[in-house]
Amino acid sequence: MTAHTPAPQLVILLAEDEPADAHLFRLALKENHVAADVQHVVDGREALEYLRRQGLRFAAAVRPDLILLDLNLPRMDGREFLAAIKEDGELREIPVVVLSTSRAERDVVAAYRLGAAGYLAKSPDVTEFIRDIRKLTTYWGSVVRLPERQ
Amino acid sequence: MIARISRGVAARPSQIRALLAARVCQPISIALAVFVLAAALVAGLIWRQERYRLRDARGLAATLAAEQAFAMQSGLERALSATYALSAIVRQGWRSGSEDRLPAIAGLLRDFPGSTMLQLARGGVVRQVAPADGHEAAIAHDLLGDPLLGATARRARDTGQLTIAGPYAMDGGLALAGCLPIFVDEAHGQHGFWGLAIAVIAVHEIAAPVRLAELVEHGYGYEVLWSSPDSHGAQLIARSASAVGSDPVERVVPVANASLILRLAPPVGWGDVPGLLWQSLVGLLFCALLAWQAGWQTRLAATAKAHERNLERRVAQRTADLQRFAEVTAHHLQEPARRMVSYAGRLKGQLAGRLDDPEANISLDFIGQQAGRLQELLRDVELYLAADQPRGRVESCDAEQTVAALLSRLAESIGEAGARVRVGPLPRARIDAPRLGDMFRVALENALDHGRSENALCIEIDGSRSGDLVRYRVSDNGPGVEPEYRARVFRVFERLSASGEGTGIGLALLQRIAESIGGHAWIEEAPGGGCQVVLELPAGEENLAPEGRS
Repeated sequence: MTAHTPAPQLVILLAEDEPADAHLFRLALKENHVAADVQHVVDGREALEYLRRQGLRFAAAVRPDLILLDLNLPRMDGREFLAAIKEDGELREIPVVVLSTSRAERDVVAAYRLGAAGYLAKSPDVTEFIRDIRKLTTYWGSVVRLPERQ
Repeated sequence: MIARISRGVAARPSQIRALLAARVCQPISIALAVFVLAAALVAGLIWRQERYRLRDARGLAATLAAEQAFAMQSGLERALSATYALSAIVRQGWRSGSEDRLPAIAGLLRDFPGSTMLQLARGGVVRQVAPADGHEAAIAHDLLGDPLLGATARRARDTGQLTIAGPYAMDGGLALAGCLPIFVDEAHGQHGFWGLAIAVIAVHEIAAPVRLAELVEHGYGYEVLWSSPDSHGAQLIARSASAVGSDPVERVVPVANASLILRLAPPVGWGDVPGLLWQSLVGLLFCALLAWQAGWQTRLAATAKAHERNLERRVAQRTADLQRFAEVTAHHLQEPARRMVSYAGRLKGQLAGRLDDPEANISLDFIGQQAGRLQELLRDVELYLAADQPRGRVESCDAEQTVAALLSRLAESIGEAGARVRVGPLPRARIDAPRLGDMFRVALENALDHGRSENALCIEIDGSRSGDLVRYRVSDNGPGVEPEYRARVFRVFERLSASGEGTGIGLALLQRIAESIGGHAWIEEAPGGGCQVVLELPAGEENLAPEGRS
């Protein structure tokens, strides 16, 4: 009989400027009993600083397994952030899933062209949103294999 | 129409110019102008071409005339040289003492083609004729006294030069007679007049070898004239069947005491009438085509212009409709948003202390916040859409009064932020008061929202006038705006901080209002390192009291 090794906790970097949406995401994780480590930043520039461990605040930042990215962010928006990390040799393999209110085809296409690994349109129905987050965390946390955390 | 307007007192030069331009720019006017210009150009080209052609044609005719005239001159001189041969024979006989014996001269006719008759006249009386047959009557004829040849014979004797008489009729044609005086050495060593040597030359004999007919083949008519001192004016001695056209080419060659003249010209004149007609026809067709093309292009341009104006009208109409729709929509959406804020607040009050689940309280808070945010967004969207429309009389607006009213309205927010606001002198701007108030409100709210730092917030509002412009500055002592974001923050929904602070429309609204009245707005670094919003607007009259202010 082999010893049971618990699955390592999924580390998620959430780039979201809207506190209500960030709260809703955490609520969805809680409702789905997903024990993920959620790191929250409010714009693209702060997300880059987190990933590059810049400044005292992010000196001990944990490299995320997955980035959930809102498109409309202050200072550096989601598109600029995507372009920036896909040009960064150290960061480009971290999968980025876009979380956006927009269902416009041009936004979906633009996100994938910039290197997004997925695109999730936020549902206005909370129940549906919670279900979508369960599927999302199951897929990225259990189904697919992600690069070893550095 | 123009005359009618010119008479009218109300007609202004600009109206007349516009009417003239409208008339001149008509397709038919343009086509006519192009036709006239093109026709003038084509006429010039045809005239120039015709001039070159005429010069070449006359040059060619002059060359032909010279060739023919010289050939006739040579033939005449050859025929006349028989008289010199006769003179030599006589003088030879004189010197040998056999002057009374008449020499044989008939053989000379063979040696000097062109001479049809030779005569020797001792003392002017014909003594010998060749050929003798048929001319016996000429023997003993006194040439010096002859009414036809006498003058020429006497001139030859008196001048000692070969002299030519004629033309006169002979054997159904015209003939010339060359008279050469013969002088012999007399006993006392002096020259004495012996007599005359005569060579009669039939004109057709001279003309035949010259092939004047070739001139006719080349399309010319010709005339050969003879001019001598005894003839009054030039006498016609040969001509082509076809007439000589006007302004002929003329060649004059001297023969003894006379001149031979050859005139040459096409019977119909030098002008190439069929060619000119053909060229003119082609030219007219070309001009007409060009004029049609110009008229067509003008018509197309006018149609395109009208279409463009129509499109512009439609776009303007649709834009106005859309703007109106957006404004109305934004306005109407504010109502449910306001109600949501009201009822969320009411619900929270009613449930205060009765909810065990903290998540429920959080949700209620978010509902209230988001409804308030929606209301603010809709308010700013409505203002943004109407930013370029004055909301009152555009006049010399008292900025100090506007700012004072604004500070009074925002006193609570200023107090909450713990801010100290200092207002300096503010010159007047030319704008409606509500929009000037909006611009200062946005700048002030921007300072209140983003100017907070470790230090107490200090906001300074001042202004200055430079020529026709006023410049207002709203500065804070906060963290400021990094240079890379100073232009970007004027975009709609562009924010530099997370939600909860501002709608992202304020600065865009401010810039839109400024630009709609010919001004500008930008962000600079404040003297203390904070953010400084600068408004540059048209200046208002300082000493003019604004009208209609309540």
